[in-house]
Amino acid sequence: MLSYLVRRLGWVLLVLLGVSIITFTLVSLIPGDVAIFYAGPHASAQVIAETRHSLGLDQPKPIQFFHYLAKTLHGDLGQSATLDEPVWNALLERVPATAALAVAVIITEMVVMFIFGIVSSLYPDSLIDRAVAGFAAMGVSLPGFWVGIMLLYFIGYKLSWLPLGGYGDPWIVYLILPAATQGVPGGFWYARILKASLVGTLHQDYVRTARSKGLAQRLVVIRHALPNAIIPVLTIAAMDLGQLFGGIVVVEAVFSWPGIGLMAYQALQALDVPLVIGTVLFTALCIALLNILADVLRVLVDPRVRLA
Amino acid sequence: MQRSELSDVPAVLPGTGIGTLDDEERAMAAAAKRRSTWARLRRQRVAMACLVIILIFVLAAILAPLLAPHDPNFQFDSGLTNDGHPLGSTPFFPLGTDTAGRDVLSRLLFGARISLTVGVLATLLTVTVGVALGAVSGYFGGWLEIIITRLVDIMLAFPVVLLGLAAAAIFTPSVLTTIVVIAATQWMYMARVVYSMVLTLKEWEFVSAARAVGVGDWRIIWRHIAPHLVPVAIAYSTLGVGISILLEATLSFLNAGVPQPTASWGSMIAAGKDYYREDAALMLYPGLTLAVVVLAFTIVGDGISKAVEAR
Repeated sequence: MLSYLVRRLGWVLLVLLGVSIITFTLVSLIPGDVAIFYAGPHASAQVIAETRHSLGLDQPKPIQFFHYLAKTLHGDLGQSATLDEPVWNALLERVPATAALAVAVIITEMVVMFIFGIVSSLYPDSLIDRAVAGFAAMGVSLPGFWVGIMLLYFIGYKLSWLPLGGYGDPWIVYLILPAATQGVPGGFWYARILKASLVGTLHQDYVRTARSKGLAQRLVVIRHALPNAIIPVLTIAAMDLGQLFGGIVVVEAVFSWPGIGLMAYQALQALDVPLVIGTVLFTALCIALLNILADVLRVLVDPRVRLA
Repeated sequence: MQRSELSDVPAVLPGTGIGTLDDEERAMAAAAKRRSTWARLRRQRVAMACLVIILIFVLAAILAPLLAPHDPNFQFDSGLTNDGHPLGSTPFFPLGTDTAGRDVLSRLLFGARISLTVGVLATLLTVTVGVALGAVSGYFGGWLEIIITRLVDIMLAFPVVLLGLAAAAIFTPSVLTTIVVIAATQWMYMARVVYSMVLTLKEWEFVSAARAVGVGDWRIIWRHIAPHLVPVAIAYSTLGVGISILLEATLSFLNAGVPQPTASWGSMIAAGKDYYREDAALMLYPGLTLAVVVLAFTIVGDGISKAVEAR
């Protein structure tokens, strides 16, 4: 287990290196004077000169890269061109809101997934099973931002049941619509995967044994089949973490939820390049770390993985 | 949004003995297979209905200049009320006007051109890159395999949307950058599928036979392995067009995709989003259009996968 974790940590470093190379390349591709670009659209000549110096732009590219990498490893992601603070600080301020939203989305997804995944595996080809399949297909085909605005329009504006986005007191009320926008379609999607996995598990010998000793179908599914059926779902969900965060960026922009996604969106409108790039780097790192967490979780759920 | 279903496209293994036939017989066998795949697809009524929907939209996009009642970018003086609000449906503007007094129906029709073009071109690029890198890494192995599979893993850690924002911050947003960003964040799924397929395919006897008679590596990949990848690539492409259209809309919504005033469904939703309280129709029309088209591509893609799987 320990050597496994060490290996996975090495992998995170590799991801970080790769991501740094990609963002560095992106920045190198900026047409014209990078310093002017990096200092932001309203920077004075002095700020531009300082930016050029701090970016080490007078040095050759490989040295620039190692400079960049060393700074990144120290958590120095540069200075925001618009917020008047280091990118790292700006990110840390916004992380709690994004984390809260991510957790709310995951909880919503899990609730929807378990309810509808189990029900549709108990009654395959029933009306509800087909409805779940339909919702899952719609969930991946409907644009998330559009669903969000429609929810804002009907539930927030027409019915006035919930606030029209933003953040306030009590905060949980402001969290409901953003979490539902992403969590419900995602939940139906995973419900399909869980159902497929459950149906496969139900043919296994140990399930037949459970059934032959007279257990009710409901108990067979929940107690015996579910723990095994959940493992492939976890694997897929871990692979989808990038998509999850991508979706959260959009949802934050729609609902003005004050997380790092909204910040990146606003930074783009203000052409604050260091802030946008810093957010990309930071998020990629978070996803790599969360992937390790998902691995550990998988080992805890499935003892067979330990042998591998 | 793209989810991992695409990495689960099943590896389709070749029928036995194909490699021993001569060219003519091989062509005939392949044609028969294509016909039976098509026959299986035709039996799926919903998928066929969706295929018809797609064809209607493609036709509408091609014929947009003939079908559209107005210039999509013209701001009509008569297109706004006296206090500057968009119009509802009128005989002159069948679906009303947007906040700049432009005809919504014309913009939807011309938007179909941009959305479908971006969807198709981005998918072509995605599939080309994905198949090439997947096949090369699977066939040759060694350091190529290590670099490419690591690159796939690293790119998978990137949230698509954020990379799109970064690209938009650095390059001027345009149709071309949108296409490149979509392909840059989608090729890994195709590469993974192709990689695992080629790993199996290259162990087949017809590959060893070809190698034994001195056929070169590149020719083996092109003539003997690539044909087996075609069905999966087609199934993926169909799903991929839907996903790419959705991504284009998402990026355009964040002002990181197709720039205003060019009409794409995403940019129309983006333009209508600040106005949804006054007139939700501005969001409703492009959103529903988008949803119908993406859903149609998803269902047809699933249908093709099923038809291919059944072989």
